[in-house]
Amino acid sequence: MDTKGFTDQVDNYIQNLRSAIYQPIVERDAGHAPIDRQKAFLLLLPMLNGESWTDEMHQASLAIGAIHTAFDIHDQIDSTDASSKEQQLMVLAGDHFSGIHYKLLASIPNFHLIRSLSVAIGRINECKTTLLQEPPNSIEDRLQLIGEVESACIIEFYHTFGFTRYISIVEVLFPLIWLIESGQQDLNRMKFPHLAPNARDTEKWIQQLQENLDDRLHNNFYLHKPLVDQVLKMAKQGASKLI
Amino acid sequence: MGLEKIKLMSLYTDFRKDVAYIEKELERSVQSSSPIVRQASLHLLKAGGKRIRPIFVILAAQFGNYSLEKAAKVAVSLELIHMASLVHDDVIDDSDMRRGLETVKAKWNNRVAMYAGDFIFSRALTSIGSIEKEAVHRILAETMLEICKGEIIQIDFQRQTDQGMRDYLQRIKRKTALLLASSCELGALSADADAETVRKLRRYGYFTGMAFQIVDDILDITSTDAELGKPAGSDLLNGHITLPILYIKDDAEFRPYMERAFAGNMLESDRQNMLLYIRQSDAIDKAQHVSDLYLEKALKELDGLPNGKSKKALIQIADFIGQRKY
Repeated sequence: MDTKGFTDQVDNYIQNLRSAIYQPIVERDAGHAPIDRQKAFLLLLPMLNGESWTDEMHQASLAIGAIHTAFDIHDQIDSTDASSKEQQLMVLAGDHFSGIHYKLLASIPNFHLIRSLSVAIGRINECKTTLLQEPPNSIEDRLQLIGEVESACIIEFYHTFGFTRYISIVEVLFPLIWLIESGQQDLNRMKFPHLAPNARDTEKWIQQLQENLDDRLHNNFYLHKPLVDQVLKMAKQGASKLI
Repeated sequence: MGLEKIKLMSLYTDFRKDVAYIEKELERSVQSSSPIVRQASLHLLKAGGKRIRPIFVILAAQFGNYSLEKAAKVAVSLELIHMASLVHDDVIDDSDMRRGLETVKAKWNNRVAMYAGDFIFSRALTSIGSIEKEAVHRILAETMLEICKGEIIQIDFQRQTDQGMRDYLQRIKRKTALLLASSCELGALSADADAETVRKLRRYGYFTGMAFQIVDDILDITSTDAELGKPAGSDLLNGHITLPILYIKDDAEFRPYMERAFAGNMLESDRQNMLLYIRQSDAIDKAQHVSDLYLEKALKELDGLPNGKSKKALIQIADFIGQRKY
């Protein structure tokens, strides 16, 4: 599969996800849900790499996309004032997307994933609260929590369906992207902008994580060359340069 | 513990041990490595509540092969889903007080409330995840989506006066009745009760839930601020038209009150006068009559179910709902 093929697959997935989470009143008054293309790409990485992809995996991947979208919309709730109709609907849209995630898993039904993903969702919310209210002092600890927030559901998906070897990529890539966005001062895109390190530390950590990722990509297992290029592009330029 | 909760608990003394076990399980289920998440979750848990959903699960499960462990998984899950929705509702309604305590969003902030609510929801799924029955998960997922749809519609209808009885009943069905119906249904299903018993119990839960919400809406007007733990008339102040208001909204003298409540510029004395005006009208009696009709239907569903402690408790709970004072 070439880059065009990847783009089509990710587009197709996003379209399916959009249709699965559709809620007419939310769509009308709060607009399109913020579907994260970078997460979609990494979730689908095994499939893009040619791994066998069953209907159950497709359904479960939509469930993960729904919960990611729920998180992202809840991250947009204002800390002090959520009284506008748009914000009220965003609270409920997130709850609706959470419900869709559960409905999709229940319809498979995959009880193991319902359980393991619920633990991951709990952990993600613990990490987000810690990052928001009492963030750790060291950059290393912050990066670890940010990595967990962004990758925990995808890692659970990989574990469930036997794609564990892909975990080594996502666990490095997410903190790296966060740092790159902080270096680019892309504060609108980035989560937890108040935790961005200074420029010197950012550079140092980016370099270290890039080397780590490079090592994992070339030594751990086979990933198709166009995918390696794509991952490296994200690792160098951030998520905005995604296919 | 509130007087009403004590009264309610006296109705199911035979199941006190089971209720105490579920209470412990609830507390255990919201333990967290994050101190703030733990405090926020326990904060609401400790504030109490009637625990009517867990009670319905236990009582319905008695009609099958009862296992406390299994029933507790379902009961904890349903109560946590209810709790998670309350935490998010307080963000939506910008409420600072619930059950006489500061809300999570007031004690911390909206974002902590969002994360705490999502955390509690995740624990609900962890609890029910161990029940490997497709129907249980399908019913619960559908219920959650319907509850959410009801809230979305409620926001859409906020401050709209051209609503009718049908709109109101649809809304309270989703807001309250469906989760109570599911509590009975899932309790019975988890204990492998027969299909007819499951159906009857679901309908009992549904009708009781409709009555419960109507009474709740009446109490929002007839109770004092202290009894409610929040300002009386909050529903109207938040732009929601409830059943008593439906009966009085076209009254020429009442309309200016409603307009000021919706505009958010109501003085304290004005609020008290508005409440007095509604209390002195026939709107409360009319709403109470509708609630009574639902309770009659609920009790009828219990006909044909085997007599015993569980059926007796369900009858008493229906009576309690019709007579509760706050």
